[in-house]
Amino acid sequence: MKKKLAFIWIVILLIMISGCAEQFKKFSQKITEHRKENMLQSYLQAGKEYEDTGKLAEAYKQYKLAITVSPENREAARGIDRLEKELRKWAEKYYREGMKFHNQGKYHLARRKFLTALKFWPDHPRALKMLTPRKHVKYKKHIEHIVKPGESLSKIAMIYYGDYRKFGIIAEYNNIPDATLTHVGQKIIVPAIEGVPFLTEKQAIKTEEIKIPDSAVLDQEIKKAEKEEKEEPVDKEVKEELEKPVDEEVKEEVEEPVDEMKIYRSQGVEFFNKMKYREAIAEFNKVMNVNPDDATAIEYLAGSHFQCAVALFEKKNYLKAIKEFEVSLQYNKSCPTCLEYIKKSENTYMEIHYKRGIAHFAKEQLVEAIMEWKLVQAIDSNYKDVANNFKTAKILLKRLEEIKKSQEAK
Amino acid sequence: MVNQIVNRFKQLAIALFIIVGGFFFFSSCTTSIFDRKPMIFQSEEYVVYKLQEKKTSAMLAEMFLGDKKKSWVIEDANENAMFKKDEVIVIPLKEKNKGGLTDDGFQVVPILSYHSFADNCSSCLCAPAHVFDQQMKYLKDNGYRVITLGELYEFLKYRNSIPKRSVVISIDDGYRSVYNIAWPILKKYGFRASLFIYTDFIGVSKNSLTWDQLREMKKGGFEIGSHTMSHCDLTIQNKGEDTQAYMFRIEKELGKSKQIINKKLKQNTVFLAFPYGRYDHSILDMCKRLGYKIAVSVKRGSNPFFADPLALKRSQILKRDIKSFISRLKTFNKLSLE
Repeated sequence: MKKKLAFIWIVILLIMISGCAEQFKKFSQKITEHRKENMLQSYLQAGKEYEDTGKLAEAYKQYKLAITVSPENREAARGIDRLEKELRKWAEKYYREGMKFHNQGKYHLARRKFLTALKFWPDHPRALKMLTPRKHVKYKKHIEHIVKPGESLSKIAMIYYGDYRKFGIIAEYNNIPDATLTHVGQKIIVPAIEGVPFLTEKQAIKTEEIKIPDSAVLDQEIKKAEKEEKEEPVDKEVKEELEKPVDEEVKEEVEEPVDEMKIYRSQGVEFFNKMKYREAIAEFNKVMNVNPDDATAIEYLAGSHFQCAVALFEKKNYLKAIKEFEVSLQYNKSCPTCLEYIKKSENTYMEIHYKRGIAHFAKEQLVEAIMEWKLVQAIDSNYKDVANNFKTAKILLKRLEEIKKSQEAK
Repeated sequence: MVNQIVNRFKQLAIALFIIVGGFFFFSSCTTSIFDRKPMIFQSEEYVVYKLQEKKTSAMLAEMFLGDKKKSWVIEDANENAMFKKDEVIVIPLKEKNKGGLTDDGFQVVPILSYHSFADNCSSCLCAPAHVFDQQMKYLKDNGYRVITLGELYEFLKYRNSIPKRSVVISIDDGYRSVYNIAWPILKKYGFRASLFIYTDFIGVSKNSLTWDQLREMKKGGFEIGSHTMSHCDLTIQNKGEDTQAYMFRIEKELGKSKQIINKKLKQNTVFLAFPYGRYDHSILDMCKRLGYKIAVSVKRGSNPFFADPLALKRSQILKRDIKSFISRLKTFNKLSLE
């Protein structure tokens, strides 16, 4: 009996305890859920508040934390999606503004924009690239230039490189934070770039007078920007730009017509910089077909033909070199180097054939000698003794032939 | 009688069993209420952890980042946290702010530059031991974190973020006093330094370091970089020296010093300090070609992530008062980025 009773007790106790345990488990789970929900709500709340006050990156983080706590929460997921788009959009906007400043040579303002772009979207590769160019370009030599009245960095770039757009190279080389702010008397070091014809100072003075419309336009723009900047403090300008609606700006750029000439031109410049001059000439000729007065094309054509000519000269292909130098001269009339090269090519060519003629003459190879001297005379009939030699050789040849004939007759 | 006694025992045993068993059940029941499960949530980018007991940032770093030394990541992400019970700690798992950018500006890293040390000395290039100790104590007490040039390089490459108040300590030339005086002080605070040695000087006098000492310090976490062979001003072309001979000499100063250190210390030397801090464009070009990754000048200032790694600024610690020391510790550049 007692055993039975004890057994029943045990069973009843077991049921009670297990029931209680279940109850307690459920209860504790509820508490955990409640705490989790509290955390989630506080993150969502913080996210919203940050979003409302415009602190997008912070808001984005709060939504990310919310989704960490509750991976299935839709509100958090939507918040993340929305902010991701928003952050990317702002980063892109600041990047574009930065590029605008960069192209104007206002590097310190540009840098600030690029940094802001990265703050919004830390993985914006183009903004990062603009901040860390770090090219250690090898410059063989450089020239000191003192800024004269009316001169800007773009003008100086035009003088030395024949390309006003290369002002950035000078600015970077001299660590100038704003390319539009140079002053008269400022000492600037201009490096020679490999593959780009570099004018010596002597020539530079001459070419200073060349007026290129594009350069003038750019200078005007820069001056205008300078003026605007003086009139208004930078922060205000930046603020105003911020207030512009983003979409409008994007539209503007999309609607911009494709400028084929621009493409040919930049293609040509690229070829030129890669020292592929023949390809560069082909591209610039396309530009010239559309606009025979295109300053950049003219400059680069002169440069490309010059480079080809030098290559031919070095290969001792003097006649072709002369032709190329002459073409280069057509594009750039003030090229004393071209004239020098032409003279040098002619002289070398004549000297070679003159000497060959003499060598043949000494070996009594009169026909060959005459042929060589003919080549010399084609360029300059008064070169050294060529006229006399030619005459002598002809007379001798005539006599020899006469002797031959008389012997044959015998 | 005997039977009765046996029965009693049996009853007692059963009762005991019920009590003990019930106790176990109850305890399992109660633990589920009072001893809560830890609240840890983890996604790809974050861990959110509600602490149940006091933990250190190093413990958490080991748990979630796999490295005790990364405790700064957690400290920087939870400023003002005490790591006490019931505190919610956020642990970022991915590199977030590689450039140290905020709404108010961006992070910059000062590189401090020392030369020699002594118990007492008057030259401005020599730091008295007690002054150096005071300066290092200031860094420790004020939450500065000494990083290596290797870590700085990752920051400059925009690959890794670094602690918020990062500082690099560099020591030039290779004086014996680095080993005798500076190292024990640095050890006391758990700091490491980066040494720039000029190879002609090593092991030549009782004032200079030996290669063995350098090896020992390298084992202790020091970095060794080049300070050229002869400590000459690289930008000066000697009289009567043509350009080709000059460039050849500079290449030897940079290249051979690297080779010597490589061989002696069995390493790839990628850090360089320009003697007198002087360099020009063609020297930078040569450094790059010879495989240097970081080169420092003595232009005063701190370095943002977008600084040129081959032309870094460095602040020489020449004065001894703590005020001017503090003025060299700029770790943030204010610039509104809103």
